[in-house]
Amino acid sequence: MTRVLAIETSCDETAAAVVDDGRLVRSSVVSSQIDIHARFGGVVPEVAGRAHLESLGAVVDEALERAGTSGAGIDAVGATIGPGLIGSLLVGVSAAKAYSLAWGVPFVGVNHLEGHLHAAFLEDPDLALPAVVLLVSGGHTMLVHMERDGTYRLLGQTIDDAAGEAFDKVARFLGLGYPGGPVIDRLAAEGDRDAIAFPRGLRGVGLDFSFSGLKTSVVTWVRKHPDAPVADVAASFQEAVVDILVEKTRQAAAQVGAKAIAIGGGVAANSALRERVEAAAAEDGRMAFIPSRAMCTDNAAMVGATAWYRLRADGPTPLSAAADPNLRLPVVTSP
Amino acid sequence: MIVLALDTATPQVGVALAGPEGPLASLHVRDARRHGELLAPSVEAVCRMAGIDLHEVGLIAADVGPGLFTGLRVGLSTAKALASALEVPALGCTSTEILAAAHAGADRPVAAVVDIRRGEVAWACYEPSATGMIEVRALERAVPAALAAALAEMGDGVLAVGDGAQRYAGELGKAALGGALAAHPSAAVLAGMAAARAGQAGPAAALSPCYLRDADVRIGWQQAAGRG
Ligand SMILES: [Zn+2]
Repeated sequence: MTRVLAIETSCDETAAAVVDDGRLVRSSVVSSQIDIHARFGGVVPEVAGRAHLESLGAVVDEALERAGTSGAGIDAVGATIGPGLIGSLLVGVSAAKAYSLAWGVPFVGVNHLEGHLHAAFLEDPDLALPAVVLLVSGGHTMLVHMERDGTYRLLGQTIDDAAGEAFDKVARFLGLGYPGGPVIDRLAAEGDRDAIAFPRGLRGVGLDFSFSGLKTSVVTWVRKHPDAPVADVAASFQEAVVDILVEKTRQAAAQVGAKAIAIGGGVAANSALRERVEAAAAEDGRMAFIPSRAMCTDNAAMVGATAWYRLRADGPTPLSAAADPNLRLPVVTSP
Repeated sequence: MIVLALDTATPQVGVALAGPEGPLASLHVRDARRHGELLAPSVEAVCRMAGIDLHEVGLIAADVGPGLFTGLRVGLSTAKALASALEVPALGCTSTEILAAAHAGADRPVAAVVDIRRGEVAWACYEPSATGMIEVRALERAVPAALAAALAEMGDGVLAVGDGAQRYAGELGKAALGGALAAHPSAAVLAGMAAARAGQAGPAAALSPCYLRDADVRIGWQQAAGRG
């Protein structure tokens, strides 16, 4: 049995987890900084870095305690090494290297995006491959073809804003606060999603996404109709995002002959997206995998699962490895 | 007791080990952009040089700043995790204290000046005494002109040390300048200081950085492009 202590500090969640053999989550602790960043209306990198440094030690201690283990029981230490905010990544990577040195166990640097892809398997080990994974968060919007474990092909991605970024920016413009995803999700449930026909970016043009035009048209429309119900704006905006995400995911799954569709990332916690992906998969005769909301948003359990996989496949990461804010998915360029 | 000292507050990454009989080994590398890559391997290397196993270390010491934010985060995150994992206490010293301590033999007041970028320095002034350096002017943030004015007020006899003093040498008037060797806090000096102050050590959680400047609160839409 290989027991991994995993650390995640790439953005605004300080997280630690203990995972056995890449599958059994013994503990998963997430300390969110949402309250700290809410007053700024978005994640402030310097504030995030400071908060990670302040809380990481206690978060790790709690993860060890909840798992009923201690340093002596840990066989490897994994940490997100990128992509993310550099000042935040460095806190987790530096701590992970130090734990690995002190306990005399391997250090494993984990790609955060690969972590999100592995999250699906943590809750459903029987998820059929090949699968198409829609990875949607505050920093990413991508369609990934997972042919087998550890082999990915990028099918499409956003050419401007990430879907989660659009939610944050629109929520901010509407004066709904931060983070935008949950607040728009809640408000949209009370509005008419067909009230306003917002544009679907890059519809029918390949598998890439574009959300900056949608954000601009929400702003323009609201300025012209200042008295329109905010719930209708939220519902119609969300519908435009979900529509194009689902449409392109279906298209991608058909294109590669996927057996399953999975979603991941913070935006995958959106109620409408979850319902629509499930319905679309059923209609197309594919398996759908919709992870729990806690597994969609940033957490260290997914980092622990990936660390175990990478340790077996590639061995330990050298202690001289650098955190990389722009790290890409280890994509395989198969035809 | 063996002390492991980490200093990453300036463009220099320093790691040192000291025992009851004094220094055991140290390593200082100057590369401002690679604190995160250099620190852990340096700890490994210094232990190997000294023939010390990390489990023999009884105290972790760290430079808590002021200095470069990125460097501080790497150093303090490492120090906290090491202290916690090894179950030993931790102790922090400021970058200006460490700079000044390297000049305990001076025959005049020592102004320790750290370049904290954006046209500012952090500085404090110390006077040598039989019992070590005594702080005579508290740590503060200043623009070089204000530092120069304060130094002029103190007379001719101040020795200015640190990368801030070096960078703004032309603006500091008659203060004597420490040499290039005095430009960065030394982990070896920190190890010695920490051994002498071991009684003041506390838990890893109590180790906290001295930023001396509020966080820049611009939202990182661009920087967050990599976030997932
Ligand atoms: Zn993420």
